[in-house]
Amino acid sequence: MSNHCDHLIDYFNGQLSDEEKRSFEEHLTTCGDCREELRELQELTDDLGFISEPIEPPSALKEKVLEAAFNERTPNDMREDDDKVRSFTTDQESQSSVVVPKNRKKLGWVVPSLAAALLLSLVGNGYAFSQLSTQEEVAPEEITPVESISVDSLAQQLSLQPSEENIPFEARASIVNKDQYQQLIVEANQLTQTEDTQVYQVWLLKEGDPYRAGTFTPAEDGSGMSTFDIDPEMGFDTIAITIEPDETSEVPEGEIVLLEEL
Amino acid sequence: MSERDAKTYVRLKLGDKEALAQLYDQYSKLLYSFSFKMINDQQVAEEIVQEVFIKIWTQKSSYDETKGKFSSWLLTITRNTVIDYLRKRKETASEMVTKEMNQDLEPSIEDQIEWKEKRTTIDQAIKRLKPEQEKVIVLFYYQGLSQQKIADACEIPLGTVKGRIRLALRHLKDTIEDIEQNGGIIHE
Ligand SMILES: [Zn+2]
Repeated sequence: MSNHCDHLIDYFNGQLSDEEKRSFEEHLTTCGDCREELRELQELTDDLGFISEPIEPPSALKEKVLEAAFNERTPNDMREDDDKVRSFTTDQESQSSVVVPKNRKKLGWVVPSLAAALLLSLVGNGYAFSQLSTQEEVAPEEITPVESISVDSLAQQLSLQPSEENIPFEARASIVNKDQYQQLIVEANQLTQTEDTQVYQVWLLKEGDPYRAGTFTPAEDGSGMSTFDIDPEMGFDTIAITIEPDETSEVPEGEIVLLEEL
Repeated sequence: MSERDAKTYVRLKLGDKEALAQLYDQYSKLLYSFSFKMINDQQVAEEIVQEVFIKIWTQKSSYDETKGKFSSWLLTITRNTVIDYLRKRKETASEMVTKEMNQDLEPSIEDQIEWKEKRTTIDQAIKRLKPEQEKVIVLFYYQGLSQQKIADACEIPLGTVKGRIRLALRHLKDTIEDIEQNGGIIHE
């Protein structure tokens, strides 16, 4: 026990000066008792806010709050350059927008584009990349992941649900353990055809940060597939699929058609 | 965190404005009511709610599952925002908290079942505490006072405040669990 330990209550209640707060947080890194007591305080008070008598906030408050929030800069806005916030239409009724994260450094290991992925695949460095829409002349068993699944162990498989109920869409994601890495295979059916250069882009997310994880365009029968090598160390928590204007988007810009926790 | 909240929150982190609106619809009433309980001023409670949603949107406060339940995390941000506000105003929260705790509940107007159940349980549990324990919890949690002010208000030595708080909170938690398991029948 040092006299730092006496600051626990004032720390919990936000009553310390900035200097005292910093020094208590430093103390926390070395004092197991305080860490434990702080955790206990949090746990014991977890639900106490629910004692509040329900009062309806004024209905005008919603618009005021949202407007104030959207006027603030978000971490996404603050990254590197400071240009546009892009809008997209999710459906007939509502409009949403995605603030484009600009942190490209994190994307270093990600295959930068469809063309590059195909090129890498051709030079044979281990990237397996396929698109059902372009595979007429290739025998399916050479590239379909089914074979891989039987050889390698399947780490995880989940069926993916579309984010809007009116989108008919069926997809399955499999993560397959390879020697040094894992492979993410996304297979989808009943896809809505894309226009012009549009592609379906698969993303893996870690704590909200998106990483490119393969693209595909639907074949005539509405099926599509992508495979992508991932680093298991990354600890991704979510998979998402968006429709992007072309296959070069480094951050999600288009409509989110699917979002699922891993 | 419910699956729905988890998805909404990921969308929010991707910058989806609709996600913030959804969280507002779901939680604004709870956060507003809690702010009002702590501060007893509708105008200020509105400002607190606004501040909280700005913190969420700008990710000045950011949630992950190590922080416990999503609703508890929101309540914690709200409480901290109220405390900051009070500190800046250099005023203490009003006395209404103690009084309000002894009012009868009006369950008929509450449609959010979980909240209502928790509220009833916590309210019953607090009423079973000794008055000194109730007071300590009100001063510590609902008013967010400093250790010195709690010591003064309870007329106890500064060094014993932490112990009293922990004891009272543990007693409250046990009582809440007892009520949840035994449906509010008192076993003494
Ligand atoms: Zn300590």
